[in-house]
Amino acid sequence: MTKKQIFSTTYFLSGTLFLGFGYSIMINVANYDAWISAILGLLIGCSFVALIGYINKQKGPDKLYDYLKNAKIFGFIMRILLIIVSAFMFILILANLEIFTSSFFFVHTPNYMVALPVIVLMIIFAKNGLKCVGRVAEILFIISLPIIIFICTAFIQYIDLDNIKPIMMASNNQIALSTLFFAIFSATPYLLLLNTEDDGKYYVLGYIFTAFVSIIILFIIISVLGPTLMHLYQYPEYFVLKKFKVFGFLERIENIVSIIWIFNCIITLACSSVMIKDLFPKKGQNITFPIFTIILFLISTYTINHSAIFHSYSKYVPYPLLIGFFIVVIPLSIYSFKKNKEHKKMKEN
Amino acid sequence: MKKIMIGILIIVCFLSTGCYDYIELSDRAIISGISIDYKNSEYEVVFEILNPNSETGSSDKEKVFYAKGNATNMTEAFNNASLNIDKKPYFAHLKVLILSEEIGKNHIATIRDYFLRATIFPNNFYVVLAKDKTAKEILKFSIESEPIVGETLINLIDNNQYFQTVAQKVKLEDFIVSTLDKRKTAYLPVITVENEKLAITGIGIFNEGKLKTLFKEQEASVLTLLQNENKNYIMTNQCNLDETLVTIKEKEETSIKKETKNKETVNKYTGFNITKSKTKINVMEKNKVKININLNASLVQNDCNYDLHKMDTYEYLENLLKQQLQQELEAFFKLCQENDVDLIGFQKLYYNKYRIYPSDWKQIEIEYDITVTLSKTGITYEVEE
Amino acid sequence: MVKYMKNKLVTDLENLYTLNPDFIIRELEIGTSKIYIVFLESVASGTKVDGFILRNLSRIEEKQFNEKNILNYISAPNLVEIKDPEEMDYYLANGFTLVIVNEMIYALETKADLFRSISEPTSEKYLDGPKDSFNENIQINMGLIKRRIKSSDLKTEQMIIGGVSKTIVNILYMENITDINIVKIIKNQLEKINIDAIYDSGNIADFLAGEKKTALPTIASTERPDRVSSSLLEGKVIVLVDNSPQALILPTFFVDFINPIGDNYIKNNNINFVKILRFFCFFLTVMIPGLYIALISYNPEILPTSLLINFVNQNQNVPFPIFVEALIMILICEILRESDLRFPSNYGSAISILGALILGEAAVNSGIVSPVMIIVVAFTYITSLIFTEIVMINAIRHFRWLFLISGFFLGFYGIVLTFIYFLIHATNLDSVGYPYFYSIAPFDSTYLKKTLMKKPINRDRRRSNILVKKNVTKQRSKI
Repeated sequence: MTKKQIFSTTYFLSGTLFLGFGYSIMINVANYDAWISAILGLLIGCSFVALIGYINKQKGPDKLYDYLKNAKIFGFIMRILLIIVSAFMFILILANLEIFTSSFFFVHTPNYMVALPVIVLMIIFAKNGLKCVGRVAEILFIISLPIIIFICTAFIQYIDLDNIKPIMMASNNQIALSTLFFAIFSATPYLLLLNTEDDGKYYVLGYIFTAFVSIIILFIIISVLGPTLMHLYQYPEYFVLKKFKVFGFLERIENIVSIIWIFNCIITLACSSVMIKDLFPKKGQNITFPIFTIILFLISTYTINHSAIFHSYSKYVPYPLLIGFFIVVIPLSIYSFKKNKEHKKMKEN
Repeated sequence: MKKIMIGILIIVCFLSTGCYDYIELSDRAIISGISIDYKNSEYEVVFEILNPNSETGSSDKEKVFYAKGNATNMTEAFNNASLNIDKKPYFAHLKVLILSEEIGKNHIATIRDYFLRATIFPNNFYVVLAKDKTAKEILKFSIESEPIVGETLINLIDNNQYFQTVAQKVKLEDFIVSTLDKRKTAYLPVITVENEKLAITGIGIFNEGKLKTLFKEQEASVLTLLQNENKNYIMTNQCNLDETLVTIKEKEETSIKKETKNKETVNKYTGFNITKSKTKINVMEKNKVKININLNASLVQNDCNYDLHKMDTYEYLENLLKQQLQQELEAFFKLCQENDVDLIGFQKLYYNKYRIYPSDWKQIEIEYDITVTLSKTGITYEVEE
Repeated sequence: MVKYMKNKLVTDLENLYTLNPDFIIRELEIGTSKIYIVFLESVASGTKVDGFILRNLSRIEEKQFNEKNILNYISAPNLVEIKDPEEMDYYLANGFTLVIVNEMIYALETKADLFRSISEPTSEKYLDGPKDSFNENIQINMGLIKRRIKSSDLKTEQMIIGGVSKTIVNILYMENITDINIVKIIKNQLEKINIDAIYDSGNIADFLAGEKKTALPTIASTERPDRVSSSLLEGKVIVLVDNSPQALILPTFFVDFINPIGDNYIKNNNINFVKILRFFCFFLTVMIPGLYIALISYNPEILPTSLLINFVNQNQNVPFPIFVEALIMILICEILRESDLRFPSNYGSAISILGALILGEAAVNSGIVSPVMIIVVAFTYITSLIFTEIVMINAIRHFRWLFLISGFFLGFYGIVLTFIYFLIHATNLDSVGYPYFYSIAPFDSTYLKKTLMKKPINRDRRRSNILVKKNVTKQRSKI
């Protein structure tokens, strides 16, 4: 993947988990100071991403499967853990996408019918590899960025600064917690990019850009909707679009503009299915992988059948993500540190 | 083998999805206005549906038709109303919601909950109150030149600002938020039928989610002035009415008026039009508020024959306006105190500054700081006989 | 009686060419040697045979004649000495005249002029620019190219394809610019062809494209020599086939199909806007029927209310659902377009009047379609008229159906998913090993500015990085 492709892919990856979970969880914790904690969360998230960049740099141009071949037991456990974490993210994002589209676009269609075409697309993506994901992300980035700029500039007329005064009413605990949440939501999907050849510089650049855009969107949500309405809605980022009115005739376009969130979800799902496929043993990949995807799809639709279960447990989503992230990243970084030392010793000898 | 599997998957995807949500365009009934009444302990809901079969220019066919439903709660009322239509009701183009006074006094909570929860309603339509007539009558008041009531009401509120801004349009979302939040002022424009046409007569003020009073046009204009949403404001002053109003010495007063043959000055008025206004309200100490208003006025009617060649006249007139505005503001504040509504915004400013709500907002002192600039006086000096 | 033993070679040829009335043998006796002149009258030109060979041979004095010096007496520009008698019928069929003296066979080129003169291009007509186009004769085509590239670096590899047709196929490339791997790949592909005859370059274009099944075109064919020359200087490879006026350009990317080369001859500032518009027209023409159906049926809140009332008013009178209306209209338009291509224009304009009647007031008044649908479909076809190559039109049709179906079943969400599918499909294709969506997906600004926009001539200094490894900067003139 070239630099621009990595930049575009990271743009979509970081913004995905904000769709149903991120903004509403942060707002419920920190009220209308969430945007301040988002700015602080950027710094913490940078360190998470830098860790992943470090592992990638030490890994060199091999794929993760080949890199872990030598250490047998350790490699096996790491692969299984990575598959579990990627599968968890896959199920989460697929369920979120289903509920999002079936609440607003398709009111009568059952959930699983909405997700079936997405599964077909994921199988095609996984066959073609990470290179294909990068190219598609590059083009979708060119489409998605002007839409966001257009919307942000159109919302300036609706910003009411009274909605964020007085500043810093939330307690320190609340702000700290929501900072941590921001870092988790924006940095955890980077786990899915462990297979590239980048040395981490473009990861961090892409992360800063995307986090900046997320902060602007959060600020707009808080200042336009106000303190009462923010807590009311499950998807505040969709409802803020309902206020849009420009040029006298362009209104009620929230269904068209929501495609930027659909792009986010699809690219992240594609990255996770490519990751899962690369970690499977190479012999029967053509058959085991589609079956695995279908199993994931069934789990996501039949356990999260009622949107009430989803909404009541969505408060607890950041914690398993945090645990999963550190369980994978810390051992891998120690392993790559040791291997780097061995390499240096061998070179000296 | 794999291709056949994928092919079957794709066909299953496509063939079994869309027939759930695909609705033909001619199966939708486009609703542009709803009115809700409360009579005999029953909700009465009327829809105004646009008639697509009407052709422009033909007056036999009606542009709208109506559907009505009665029930003891909102869900059943809407259901009964939609049983009268032969198509699927489609609310996304809803323009206006008309409520009666009875609902404003007691049932705002039900309305609030019903319209926010369902996904079929948009939340960017406008809300108005009906006065002296039931909401149903206002909704059905469509005349030939203005057949669709939804658009008429919106145009009425938009275009009433040419001479005096009485009210601004209020969207449902903003209205609900302002009834829930202590720091905002909740009001709705009030519509009635005058001279066989729809007209605005002031605003209705809400406190804690219930309708308290109806203000008339002049008081409503003061409210918009305080909230910086005023585009035009009218002030009239009767000549020689109250000499204590004038703070200039008496002998100078006679010198600022021109000598005319007609000395009658009773029932003659001077008219002013205020074109630009900027208001700032600040909290000084725990119970003091300072209101800072800058105005640009223009003289519209000069029946008292003030001499417009002299500089003193302008000073005099500006002072006159200042005093009159201060009087109006004080009267407004008294009204607010009597009706127990905080329209100046004291609670919001106090909270922003001191981070707690004030214990008693009625016992505050207001300091007025008004500057008036008489910038235009028209294109004539005086019209003499 | 001395019996002449006819030359064995000549008797072999006679036995081969029985029942060919145009097979002519002329015997000449000069001294003791017998010279046989053999040619096919249909492909060889009698005047040339006469002028180059017979006249000269008939003036030879018998004393000076020596068999081995016969070449000094024959004046023909192209002369080949044939060692293998098996090749004789190949040369005969190509219009050569065989001069057989004992065991020596010489073939001299005396081709007849069986081709059209150079005329204007039929499908790529532009108002500005040169107006000559390729011909069926491969030598003339090579000549037209070499007039524009006067350099010895233009190399040609010649192959002969087709068991019976034995068509000459030339592969042209610039040695100091092009990557030699492309040429090797093309040669390998062409050597696998095992077929009786090829008639046109279109026959081998399908084969060269590889085995991936796709609707999008990966090889361009053109009849303009200026387009061929500018592609050669960008590092591409040209395939010329005898008897075919279309030359193939490999590798071709998606962005090459959008803008015609006639833009380079027009002022710079006026043309950039139109070029970018054409790029968006591709997506417009593919997506508009599907988008219309998706928006009207699933999301009609986007339209302003009065417009929506008009649409409902029009749709009341039509008994079919919108999808069926769209299908009928698009089918009628496709049939119209096919008939337009085929029908000779001499028959008059009555046919177009029929077409206009169907699509016009009559269809609306009879209640089969609504006026809005006519506008939408007409807009679709007008934007597709920008693309003149038939391969591109077929690709557009394929994707238009796909978007229409997905818009009907899944609304706007379905269109988004189909768009992503289109992107995956197009970015994974390759044209002779190079990525198909080249300037956009692996982003390269130099190539993008050449195709999707126009660069003024003094700033157009670099070639694209992917095709060209050496000589990336263009050459300046030495004078």
